Amino acid sequence: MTVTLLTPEQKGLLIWQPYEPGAVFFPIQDKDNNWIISAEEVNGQVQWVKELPGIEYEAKPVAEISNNQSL
Amino acid sequence: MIGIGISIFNRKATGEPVDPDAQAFIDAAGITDPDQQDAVYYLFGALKDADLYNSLYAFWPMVGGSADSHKFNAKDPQDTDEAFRLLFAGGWTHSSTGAKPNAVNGWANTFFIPQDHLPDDQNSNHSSIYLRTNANGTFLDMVALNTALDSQQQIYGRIGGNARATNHDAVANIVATADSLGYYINSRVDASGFKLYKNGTSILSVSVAPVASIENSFTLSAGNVPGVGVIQFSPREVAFASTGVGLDAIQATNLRTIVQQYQTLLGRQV
Repeated sequence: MTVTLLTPEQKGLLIWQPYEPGAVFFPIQDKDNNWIISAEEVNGQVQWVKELPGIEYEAKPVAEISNNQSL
Repeated sequence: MIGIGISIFNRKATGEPVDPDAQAFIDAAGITDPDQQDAVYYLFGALKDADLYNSLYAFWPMVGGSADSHKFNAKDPQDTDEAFRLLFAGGWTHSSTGAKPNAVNGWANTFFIPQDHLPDDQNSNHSSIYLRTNANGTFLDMVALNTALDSQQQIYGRIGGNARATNHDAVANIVATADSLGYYINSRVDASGFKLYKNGTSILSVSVAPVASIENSFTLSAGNVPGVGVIQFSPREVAFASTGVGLDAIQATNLRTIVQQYQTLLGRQV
């Protein structure tokens, strides 16, 4: 899956800002701690993010939150 | 089933009265499709006929086909956090079948905090979610957590081949399930324990006392874990969600009947 790579400054500009009516950007970090946003967000109404580079997405390991599990 | 029927407010037609609550929701969400409107009129009327409407403190019908429609809480369709309007964050795909998160960074904040917004969240609560995607994995569909993480109200549609739920405890209570399709209700009616219903049937009954009140809000399609961040993003499409006071077995069955008929009217039942 391809996602869009952000600089930390771009992440700060985008987080919680609308990409379409009723939905906001939510950058996250991939397993290499790169800031990324998804294709759905890029396909929204904000034009400048469409020019940013794409990378292949690799997620961080999933943490558990239930008892008898690690967190 | 007692109370399930055609309300006088069920359908809008020339000369028939319209449920003002349903109309307010339709107007706020900008729903113009006549079939969707009829489904909403049915939903409100049936919930009131079944004496369930007041047990749902917030519900999100996910109708209209856009984030701007799906975000509204049917009980209070204002565009504010205080009205429990959903904040869709990250990647979602909205359509006539519901709201589908992307399993990368899509989640939604309900702003509904059990401790603050229920009369007695520890001993009387429910959460519910209708899922239209069959997927097995660490995908958290609906959850509220306390900061200490020892009191959680979770619904996992299917994780490791099991449905999983907690209700003001933190044990991974599980039961085998063949898929993650349909309507899950997690309900506690007293301190003795809670049940997880799937498609109207109790699939998990847990005898456990509540540990503590939950002071963080419900989220959909991921968990917002204090000190950790948002994790366990789900790919499962959401076609309805609710929270409120505890529902007994009959109420849970009736609610499922109504929500299933609602989905059928929209042509998106599973």
